[in-house]
Amino acid sequence: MKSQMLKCVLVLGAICLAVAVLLAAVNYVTAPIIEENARKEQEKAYLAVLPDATDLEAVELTDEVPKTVTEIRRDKGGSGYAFKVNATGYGGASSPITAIVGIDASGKITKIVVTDISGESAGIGDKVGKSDYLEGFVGKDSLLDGVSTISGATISSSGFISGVKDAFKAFLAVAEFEETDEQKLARLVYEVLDGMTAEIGYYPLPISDASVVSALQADRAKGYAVAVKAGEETLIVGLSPFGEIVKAIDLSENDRTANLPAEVASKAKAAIAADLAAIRERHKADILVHLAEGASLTALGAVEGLPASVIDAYAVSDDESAAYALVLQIGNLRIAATASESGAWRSSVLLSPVDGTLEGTDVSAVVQSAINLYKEVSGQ
Amino acid sequence: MTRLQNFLKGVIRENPVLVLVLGTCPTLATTTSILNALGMGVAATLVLLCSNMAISALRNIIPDKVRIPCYIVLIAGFVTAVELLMHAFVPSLYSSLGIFLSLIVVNCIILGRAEMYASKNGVIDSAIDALGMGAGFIVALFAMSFIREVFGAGSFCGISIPVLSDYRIPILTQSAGGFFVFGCLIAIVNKLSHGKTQKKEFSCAGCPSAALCGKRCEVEHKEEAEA
Repeated sequence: MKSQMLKCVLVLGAICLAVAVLLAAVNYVTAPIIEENARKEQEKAYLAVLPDATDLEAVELTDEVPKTVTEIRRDKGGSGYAFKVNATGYGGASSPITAIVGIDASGKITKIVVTDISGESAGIGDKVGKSDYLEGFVGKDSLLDGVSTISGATISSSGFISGVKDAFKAFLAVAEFEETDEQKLARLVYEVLDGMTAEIGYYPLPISDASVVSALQADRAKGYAVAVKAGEETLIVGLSPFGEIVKAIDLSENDRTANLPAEVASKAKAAIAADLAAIRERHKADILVHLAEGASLTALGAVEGLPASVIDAYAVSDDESAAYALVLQIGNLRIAATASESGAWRSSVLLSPVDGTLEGTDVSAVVQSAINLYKEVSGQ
Repeated sequence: MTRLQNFLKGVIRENPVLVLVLGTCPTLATTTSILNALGMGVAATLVLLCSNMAISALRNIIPDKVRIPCYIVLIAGFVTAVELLMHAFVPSLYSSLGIFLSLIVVNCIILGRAEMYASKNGVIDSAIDALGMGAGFIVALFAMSFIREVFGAGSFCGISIPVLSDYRIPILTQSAGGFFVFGCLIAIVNKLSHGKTQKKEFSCAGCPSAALCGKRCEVEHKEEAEA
């Protein structure tokens, strides 16, 4: 018996060894060829986006280059740059959309080639990789004027667009390129408010003042960004959801919050006043309908140290249970909540999105700390 | 049987796909395009040839107890070698075949022939059997892919056919159409050989559904032999 077992082990072992040697040999021969082919495919992709390129050389990545840009090639003949970008789409950071973006010397996109889109849903997200969508990017500069997200594939396409914007940021970092003020404005308006990500969009507000270049409301109650002309220069003002000024920068990215001219501040506030008022009206109506029927609401302004998730606050009178009503933005949920005189949470209602759920969201702690601050301020 | 008979049986009488109904997964998956089907056929034949010859050469050395693991190690080794060679020298075919290249390891034709024929016959005979079975596999794949690509996609090897491409039947390139074409081909082959096709010569140990079936094959075999 034992000798049989031994024979089995030896024969199987010998066969495995022989096969391993065979595979090692084949691998030894083929691995360099495979690597060379892969490299050629890569370089072919760079040449595909810079068709007039004569000689490509690799460019070192500096600190200013966004982390999503992994490789940069420069055409020595001056026709432009090619950037390999890993855009975070539906597949997340672990399975990004890999694309090669070609930008010519005048800052316009030559072509975009998508090399890996396996992380996106087939037939839905992978529309981002189709040529009819990518053709829409050709010839656009960093303003990406006219480029929109694909309906039904918002996460994939907006992630992709922010990847393309990263390629432009890398372009600014490595190429000697003078942005027009318009381009600077488009880029910096995104950077004036903290916490802006690819998922959070901006909606333009109607402007009546000629010296206001643009007024944008950020999604998810992140606030507002208003660009105002002040004499020779343009200043970008970031405002909180309460309408208070939180930051101001100029087009050279200097912080101007401290010495912001009063005129600029008031124009910025005026530009968003109508939208702010409309939002407040909606909040009040929702609170009255769902939480405090028949009561009357008095708006409370922002106070220092207020949790970032509180975007609107009211004092409630003529209601039995509630003394305060707050509107909170937690992630993508907008919630209205009432609190008692002491700050204890009473009830909540979900204002948006329609298909969201309040399950698992506990607002009592936020409500309590917010009310405590308000009581401190009012001296109670 | 003569060497020629040995070769031809794999092509017609005992066609692995249409008669023995082995290797249906790669058949259905790769026959959406003629070039892919031929690539798969050639790759599988190559592996079949190498594995049959190797297993036949070692048939007296491999103890019965460990024969399945040994066969699988050999087959997997050859498949990996073929994969690496394809990746290096024909990368476009490699990427179109994708995972189905790796799945040749579990292609029933290869393990089936190893078990049924190579373990009991000499190297040359096994080689001829492999070539015959491989040829039969390629013929079946070509027939299926021809129908599916020409009538389903309106093209031949990627080249669009002028009139047919306007009147194509797209469902043929999808799974449902594939099964339908497959069934029709088996029916045609059955009819042409007047139903006198060989019953499965599998031993129960080599059959994938050994654990599930009620040994009906053996029963039927006995009934036929007695009749």
